[in-house]
Amino acid sequence: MYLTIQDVKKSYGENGSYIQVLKGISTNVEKGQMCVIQGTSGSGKSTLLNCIGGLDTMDSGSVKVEGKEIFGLKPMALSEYRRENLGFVFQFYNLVPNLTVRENIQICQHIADEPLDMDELLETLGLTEHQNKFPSQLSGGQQQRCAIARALIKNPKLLLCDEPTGALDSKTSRDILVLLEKINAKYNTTMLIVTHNNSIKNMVHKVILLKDGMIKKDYENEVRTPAAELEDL
Amino acid sequence: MNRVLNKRLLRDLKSNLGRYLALMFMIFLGIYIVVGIVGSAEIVIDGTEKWKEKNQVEDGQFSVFLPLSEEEEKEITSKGTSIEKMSSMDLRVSDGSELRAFAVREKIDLIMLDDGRLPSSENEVVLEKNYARVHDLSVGDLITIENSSFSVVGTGSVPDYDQMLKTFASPAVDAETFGVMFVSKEGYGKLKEALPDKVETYTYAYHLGNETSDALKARIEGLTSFVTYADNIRIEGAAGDVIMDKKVGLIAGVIVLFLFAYVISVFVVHQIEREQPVIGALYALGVKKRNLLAHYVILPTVTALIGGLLGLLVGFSPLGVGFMGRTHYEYFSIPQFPIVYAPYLIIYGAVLPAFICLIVNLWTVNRKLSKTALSLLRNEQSAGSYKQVNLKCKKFTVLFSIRQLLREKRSAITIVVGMLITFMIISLGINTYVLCSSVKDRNTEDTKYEYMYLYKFPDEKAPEGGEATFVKNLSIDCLGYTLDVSVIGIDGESRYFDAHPEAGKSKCVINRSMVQRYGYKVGDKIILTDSVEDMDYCFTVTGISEYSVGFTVFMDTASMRELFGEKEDYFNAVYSDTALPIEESRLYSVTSKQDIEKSSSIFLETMAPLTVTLLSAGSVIFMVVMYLMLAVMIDRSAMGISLIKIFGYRPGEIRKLYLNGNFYVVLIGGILAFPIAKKIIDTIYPNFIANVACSMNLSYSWYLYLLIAAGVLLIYFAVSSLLVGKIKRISPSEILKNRE
Repeated sequence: MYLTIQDVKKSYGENGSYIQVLKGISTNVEKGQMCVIQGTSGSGKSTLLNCIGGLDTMDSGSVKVEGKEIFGLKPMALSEYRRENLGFVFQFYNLVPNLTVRENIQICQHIADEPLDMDELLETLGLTEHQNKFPSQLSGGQQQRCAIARALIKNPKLLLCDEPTGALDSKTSRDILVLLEKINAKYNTTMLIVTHNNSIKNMVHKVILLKDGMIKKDYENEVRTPAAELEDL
Repeated sequence: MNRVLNKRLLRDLKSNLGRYLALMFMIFLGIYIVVGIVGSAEIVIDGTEKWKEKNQVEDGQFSVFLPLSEEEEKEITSKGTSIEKMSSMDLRVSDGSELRAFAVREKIDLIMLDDGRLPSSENEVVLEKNYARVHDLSVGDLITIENSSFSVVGTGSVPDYDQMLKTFASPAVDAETFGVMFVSKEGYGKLKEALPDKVETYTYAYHLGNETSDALKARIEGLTSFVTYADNIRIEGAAGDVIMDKKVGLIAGVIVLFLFAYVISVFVVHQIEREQPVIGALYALGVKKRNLLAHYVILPTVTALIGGLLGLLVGFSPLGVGFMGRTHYEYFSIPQFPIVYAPYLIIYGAVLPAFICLIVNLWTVNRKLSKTALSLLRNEQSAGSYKQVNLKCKKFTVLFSIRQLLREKRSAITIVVGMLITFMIISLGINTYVLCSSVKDRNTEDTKYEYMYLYKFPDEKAPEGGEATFVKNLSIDCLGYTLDVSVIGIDGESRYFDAHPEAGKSKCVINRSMVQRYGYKVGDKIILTDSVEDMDYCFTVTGISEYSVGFTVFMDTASMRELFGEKEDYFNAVYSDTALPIEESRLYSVTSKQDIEKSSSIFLETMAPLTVTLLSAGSVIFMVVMYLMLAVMIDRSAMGISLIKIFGYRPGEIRKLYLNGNFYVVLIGGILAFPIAKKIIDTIYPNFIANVACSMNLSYSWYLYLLIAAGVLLIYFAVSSLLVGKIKRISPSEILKNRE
């Protein structure tokens, strides 16, 4: 197993306003799998993703990536864990506004031991002609492609995507999903995609459906629908 | 609407308490220093004005070869002019210092006692206050003068010795070596009897009647000197000295306030940029711009108001005017004046900071709030400026740092402007130190003789071992002040002066001090005034001597004698390597090299507190401005820092990206700002020393530059290390808040 999650619990608040967001989540993801974590607003999907990404701490439980436990790691160790293993894609891209596309990607290239080839990646993501543009000169889809390129440049073992199509229109969403599919196939990158979009679940290997902080369904698709053929995005 | 908005003010204040306190402190510090400097100057100016009226300051004074006869006195006072005899003798005290003895005055230049009473018997004396303080003498103590014991019955000051200069040509006051004393009329008579060899100077002070000083002067015979009130540098020395403090203090205060107001506006703009969508939403809901404008300028204005008021309060306290005015009382001989609350200074401290802050913030905030509701709602960044810049830099960290600086250019420029102002303050302090130190060193180095004897009644033949020459005192105007110039005759090769004047009544060699102060060069014409004869002399500069003591002009002795109508063998000064057996009654004064060394070092001692104050104030301003601006840069980059923390950047790498670029701002800012600041201060510096005839070497040695650079770097690294903590506190999850 590439990613092993065991009885993860997480709560927020104190005393009177105590809310348990994750109520004992356990699941596994194999290497190279595309996995969707789906649920309604408040179901705990982003919290789970943040716990896996070491951005948030768990109250209890265990998250192991390639057998390495991340529960209880100190901030510095978590930072090293993210540096060595993870790529992040956010709903609102979070590009640095005063850096060009190429420079935004260089942020992650700079700290990678064996980065991917920049020009090849730009080509793959259709950004070659936009590489010297600033984020404000790009469309939403182009910005998200730039964010994906930034996450991929260091060739992460695990790509965490938080609502990657949440701010995009249907056509652009499809383009982004096709791209993720392509990357998964090309680089064998394990992907965890948090979404509330019901259609995306058909294109991935594994689906985790959360409700009120618990896993409602956890299954693998026997037949996957290519992203290009997804409807109602 | 504003009532609702204003509920946020306390919350804003609470969340940015440290920042507002720092700004308040800066404004407090600025106003405190201005009120302290200007307030103490006002006290001296106002106090001197009242003092001279109350103590009947003279309209002028003159000295004559022989005491005036009764008939002459009658003739002089015939036009309503009153005179008072102020003859004096310079007496030696047992510790080696000198006291000029006067009889107690009755009509003119009256003594203002600080302590004790006037002398009533022969062996009682009133000492000038600073001489008494420096020599640790107070009422009831005994002092041995010319082998006789006197009881100190009072200490005080007189308006005609406000600046306690031994002669008008003395470079500085030195209470260690010279002061004045007062004995009763009978006591003075006894002194004359007991010390028949002592030279007495026959000086008279006058109050003009129905005539002018020129008319009076024309009626007096046998004048050796005639000095009007306006030309007497001993009178109102303190008031004259502080006028420049007042002007510079007020102007520097306004500049510093504009800097602080701008620093505050950077925060407000940052806050507005952070709240753009909220402001957009409020606009969309119908809130007017003026409501928001009022909301955003209230807190900075109140901060400035409180800072100003606190500065004003402390500025007028003993910690302000008392502390900053201390040097005036230590250097000049003036009574302790009461505090004066100048209305303009109260307005300056209480209103100006808030007013400047309001104006600067209204201007900057208004521009920020002028966007459309939609543009604000979309949180559009003004990317226009950095969009234009395409960088070809290969190294990512350098490229990132440049981008970061371009983005934060507003804060970076504020840092550089802050550096400029700081460097101006620091240059002022260092210039003062360098000048005083150079005067001390050069005066000592350039004084080749051990003794200088100035004759009142010259011998026919110069004493053996001495170099006799003719010395005459003329004067020159310096930015409204009349300063003494010593004209020294040189006959061939001098043992003591490296000057070779050409023969000719209108030719002279000037010394380095005159070149530094007036910019004269060979071929220029200079005009020197003989105030006794009421005559102007024009000379052509034929050479420059490196001799730097005071203002000195060298002439060929024969030509000089001819010009001033003296005999071919006339001399009135002798320089020597050893003490010469000259009859004391023939002399005006004896000046030793040691006296010159001592009086030269007095500048350094007196100016040390001012230098320290300026260096400290400059460093604090630099540190706070840099900290506040760099902190704003970090705040504005919180999302970016959070983002790269998510990507796994290590603290050292984050520091390299977000802090190290500032090093170049400080470096380039320093390289640009320091020469400009130094040039500005060097240009205006002659105004600060307009009343002192001295050299003006303002060039810094390499180690001073090194020290300044080290100081700047030290402050930069101290501030950077503080900011590392701020970066550490930014959580990676900060970026997750970036949700619409």
